[in-house]
Amino acid sequence: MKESSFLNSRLGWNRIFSHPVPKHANKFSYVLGGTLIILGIVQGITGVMLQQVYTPDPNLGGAYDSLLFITSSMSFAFVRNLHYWGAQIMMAIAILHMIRVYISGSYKKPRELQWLAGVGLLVLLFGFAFSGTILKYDQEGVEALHEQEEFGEILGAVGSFFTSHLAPHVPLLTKVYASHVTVIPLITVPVLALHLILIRILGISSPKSKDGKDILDTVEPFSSHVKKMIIYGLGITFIAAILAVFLPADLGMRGVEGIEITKPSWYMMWAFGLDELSGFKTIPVVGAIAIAVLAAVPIFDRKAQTDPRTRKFMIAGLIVFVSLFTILAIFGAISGR
Amino acid sequence: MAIENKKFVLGFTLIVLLIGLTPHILAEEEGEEEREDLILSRFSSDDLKLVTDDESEQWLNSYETEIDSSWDHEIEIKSLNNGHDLFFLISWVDDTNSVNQNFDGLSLILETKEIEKSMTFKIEEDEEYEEEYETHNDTTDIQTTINEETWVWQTDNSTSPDIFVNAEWIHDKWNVVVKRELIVDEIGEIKMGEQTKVFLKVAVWDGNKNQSFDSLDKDNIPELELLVLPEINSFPKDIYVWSAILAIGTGSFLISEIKKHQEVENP
Repeated sequence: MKESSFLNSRLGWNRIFSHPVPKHANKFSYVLGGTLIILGIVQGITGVMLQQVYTPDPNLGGAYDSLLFITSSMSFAFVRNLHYWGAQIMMAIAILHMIRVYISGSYKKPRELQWLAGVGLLVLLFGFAFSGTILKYDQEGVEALHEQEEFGEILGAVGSFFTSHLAPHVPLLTKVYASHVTVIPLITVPVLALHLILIRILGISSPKSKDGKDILDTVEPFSSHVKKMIIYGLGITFIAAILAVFLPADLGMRGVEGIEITKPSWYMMWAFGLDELSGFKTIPVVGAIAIAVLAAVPIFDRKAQTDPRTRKFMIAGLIVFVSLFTILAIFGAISGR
Repeated sequence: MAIENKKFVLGFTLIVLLIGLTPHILAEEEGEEEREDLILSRFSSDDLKLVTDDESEQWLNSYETEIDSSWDHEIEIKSLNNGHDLFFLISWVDDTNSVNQNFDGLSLILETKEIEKSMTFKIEEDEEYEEEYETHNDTTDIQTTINEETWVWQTDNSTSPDIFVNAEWIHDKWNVVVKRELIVDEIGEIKMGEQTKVFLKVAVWDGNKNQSFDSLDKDNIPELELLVLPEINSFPKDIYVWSAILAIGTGSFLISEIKKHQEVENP
């Protein structure tokens, strides 16, 4: 874009897009975070479309019946399926992005706050996914809502936001809907903004040598990174669209209160496996510990080196984490219920 | 030293968090309410048979409901369906098997009721803010019986040729398997629908204790709601795909980062 163009003279467009980024930042593994933005936009668009035909009411003729309408309409069913697959893929990419950042040691000084914002975004993504599961209000949704109430009860007064104590005359499902479409997005926007601003200020991380110095890579303009983001983001959206056509999102039976017969989605299956193994509801404690440990990663590993071979303890921790996640999830899938 | 202190503080915080939350979780688990007035008939794609062994693979995957029914008999009920047929396994202790005289027996009473929801509201006052608001106080089911069907099996006969039964008396216990046709919206003459619920009463008797179907106090048998479940996500296979993606992703990122460093060391 020309320096004197209409947009550039008013928005300083070139200053954003000509910003240098290291060449390795255009590899797929380094563009994962950017593709999440594209997928997030798609989720926003499909979400607004679904909003037009969704009734956040737990009673007969409400939420579940609006889902029955959505699944019976070819176009809305596609929108819902795309929303569902978009969410599944976003969750996987967010976890992979986190793993990549961890392996490349990109959380190290001076990017600790950036890492914390990333942990916050991951938690918010889980919040989106969990509340989305409740909204379909089938058997899995009803059970998830019950889990949320239990979680709120454990937290005591702080948890009243998650229970019906605060306003007993408002159905909890309606409050979850409000959280899904307003509260969580409202928290997400500033956290995401912080994450992106810090990337702009601190730059995309480069590997460090054994003596802790930056290994300099050739640089390319930020516009090349944005191009990759858009290409990969649209490519993944296309995959989600294909999945949406051939593998419709699940809608279980109308929810019955007081029974637990379903299993959670894959990203929460590890918690279900752990519950089955221990006989207790472990998610509040284990979830809190997992978030605390993730947030504390920059404290545990303060050495300047980023080479995985010199960070054996941290890499071993990651392998244990991924193995536990997988083993518990598979155990949860094949056991119980 | 400062780093060590931070690690200590972090570890201490985690332990406090764990100790602080655990009793709440245990208490929550104990206090969890589960409906005991429900028979869940799980869907099974397997070839279901009239198997009386309650520890067989077929019945291991089913939900169990325990009730105290006629003459204080403790009855265990399991149910499965395959979309075409409905199976019940009904077990109870009977140490006086009597095949030739004073017959033992079992009765299933299926009942459909139309359910109407009646909601009541009451006005509550918030003293702090001096405000009044209407709260949803209670939801009551108004039930109108549509149909009732009683089926009786005794050690000498069964009342319906359309219902298949296999019974075994072993280790002082009756295990009776009952199979009847299931049509998606109907069970025999009994319709199941959104506002129509199916209820089941199960009663058993011991002939040697002068108990019989005729002397059964039908009004005092506990009524259980029967829920015929469709196929649910009991074994979500997508977990293998997502786990593989995470494992492969982790491995490839690790290799990629190591290679990047090796290239720099040995250009």
